[in-house]
Amino acid sequence: MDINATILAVIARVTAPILLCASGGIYSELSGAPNITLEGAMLFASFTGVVGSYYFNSSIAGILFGVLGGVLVNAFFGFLHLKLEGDATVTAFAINTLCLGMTTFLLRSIFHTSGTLIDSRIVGLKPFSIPLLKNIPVLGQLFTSQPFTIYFSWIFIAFTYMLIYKTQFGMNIRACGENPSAASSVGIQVMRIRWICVLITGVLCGLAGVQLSLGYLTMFSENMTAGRGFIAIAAILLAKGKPLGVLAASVLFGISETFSNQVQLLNISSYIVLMIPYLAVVIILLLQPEQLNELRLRLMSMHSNRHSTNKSD
Amino acid sequence: MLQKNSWGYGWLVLQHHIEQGELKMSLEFRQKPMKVRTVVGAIVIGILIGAVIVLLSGNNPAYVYAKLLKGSFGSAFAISSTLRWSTPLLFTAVASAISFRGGMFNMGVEGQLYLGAMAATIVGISYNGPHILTVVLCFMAAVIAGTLYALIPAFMRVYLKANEIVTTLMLNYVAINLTNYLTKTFFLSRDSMGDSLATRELYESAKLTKLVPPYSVTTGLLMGLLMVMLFYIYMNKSVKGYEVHISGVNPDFSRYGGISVDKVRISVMLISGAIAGLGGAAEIMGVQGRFISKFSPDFGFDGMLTALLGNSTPLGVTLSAIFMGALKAGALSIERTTNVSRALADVIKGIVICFVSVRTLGIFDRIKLPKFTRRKKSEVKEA
Repeated sequence: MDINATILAVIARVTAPILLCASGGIYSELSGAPNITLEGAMLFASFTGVVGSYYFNSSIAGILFGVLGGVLVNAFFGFLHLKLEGDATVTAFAINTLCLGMTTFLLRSIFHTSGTLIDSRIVGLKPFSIPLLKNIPVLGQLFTSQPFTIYFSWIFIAFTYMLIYKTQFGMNIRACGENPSAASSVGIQVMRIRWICVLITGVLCGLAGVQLSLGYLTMFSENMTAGRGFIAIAAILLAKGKPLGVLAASVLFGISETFSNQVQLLNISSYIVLMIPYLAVVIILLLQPEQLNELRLRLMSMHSNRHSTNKSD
Repeated sequence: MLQKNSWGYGWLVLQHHIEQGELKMSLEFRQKPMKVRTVVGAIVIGILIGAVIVLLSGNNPAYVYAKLLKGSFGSAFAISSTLRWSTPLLFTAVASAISFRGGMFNMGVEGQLYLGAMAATIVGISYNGPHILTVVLCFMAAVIAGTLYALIPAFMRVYLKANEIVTTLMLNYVAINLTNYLTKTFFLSRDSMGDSLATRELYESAKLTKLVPPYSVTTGLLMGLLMVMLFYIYMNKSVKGYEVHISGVNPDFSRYGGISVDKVRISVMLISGAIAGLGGAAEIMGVQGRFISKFSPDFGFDGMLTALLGNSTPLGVTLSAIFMGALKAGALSIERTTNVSRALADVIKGIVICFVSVRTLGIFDRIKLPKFTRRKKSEVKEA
């Protein structure tokens, strides 16, 4: 893999699952149904995607099954959190455990294997190029032989931006998250909007899972998401649910993961390199200007507190 | 001001809120007390759904569950296996429980456990003194490592308002890779086993004594129970524990009452990290005998689930640690004796916890009465 020639394409490929997941998660987050099932939903979708592709020998079946898997997981989350009023954080983590268990269980029940599933019958997504855009000098590689999910991730984040800020439905979503009782008092059906948002998150997690298991590699392995769903959540939190911020954060995380993949070729311990994406998330969370400001205020108030207690002594 | 414009009413709600101040994020956790019947109901649902899944995979659920029960309580060996798997869960569950009680969601128990295990291993392979002294030194190293590693997310949460769920999760992956790196670079044993990295074996003086020699239960179990007892004394008999409880239940009220919630939050994270580190040390010194990469089959996450199932109370944590340990021991045995994957245990665990935080008793009347729920749809869900 040449570092200079295709680096943008590699970044796009690595960013895509995080971006898809995070842009789906925006809806849940903004509508006030904090959704940490992204990790589990993506894992489950990457499994169902492989199942669809395996049995129907078609990548379209893979996409459909993947989306179905993602929606199923999120519908279950919706059922527990919205319908039965379970705690969002607890049920979401339980669902993540459940998805990890289910995929491992089904891998053994359906394919009689454990660990990794590689089979020639699994059909990957077909890469295609976009006619005119691929001829642009450097950026052209972004539009050359990429699978559908990558193009979709860019279109969808733009669509999300328009929807959230420019339409009535988007306003209603944000109103539900900000002040559910006020939203309900002006006639917005809060629960209905939250359900729609959770299901949209499911569709996007499904596509992210498909990108992971059928996009570049055509395989499934246990726990193959490796925390990408949580990185997507970090992207949402970092951007405070703003679509363009989520795009920027996802690309940042994608770059750090690409960097770690590239450095792996050099003579540095792979374990140090594998830490990079996760450390990057922590450091980026740390270096936000408003958080540094918060720290400054904190220290000042601590200082003045000490001052005042000294005085009173 | 309340007029519908072309955006609809949602816009008004938003504008009002933006005028009020910052948009807030919603990833907060506060544990609600649960009833015993809720927990029992959740376990029943988990086992029933597990049975359906086993049935769909083409196996006989009664047979599989009989094997599972036999593998967890059927013989002296089975019971010792259950206790062996319960031991690390006691540590990690107490670690999670104390952070939950203080209003923090420490998801980093796994990482703190790994670092604790690594620190104990480094002491255990380099110092060979009297048994008691070596063990104490190993445990101290583990406590220091776990505490320091928990300090990072605690500070980030309190001083930088960085969500601790995300930071601790990320730091888990960092810790696992870091310990792998340390093992591979500095402590790799020549007689490595398969493709997993391992250090050389601890000195005998650093290993925990077996309680009943042929079986694998060690004094680690007693340590775990001691943690539960200390947890009980801390939460129920001490002033600090009361402060932890109050700032977990109602941070604003406790600030008003003069409790420094920030200090409480940092201290629960540190205690949590220390106990998680001890758990890692007990696992290495009691069972593994050396540091092996990926030695923990998600003890940290399972500990969190155990604490949630046990409602973060000392007795609840103990009982649910035994339940989870039995599930694990049973699942390992069904994988050996039937063709059902041990992941069945994860499935059951997941479903049980899914239903723990919902109002289980409400499920049945809600499902039976669709008209009733439809009328409630427009009603706003309380946060």
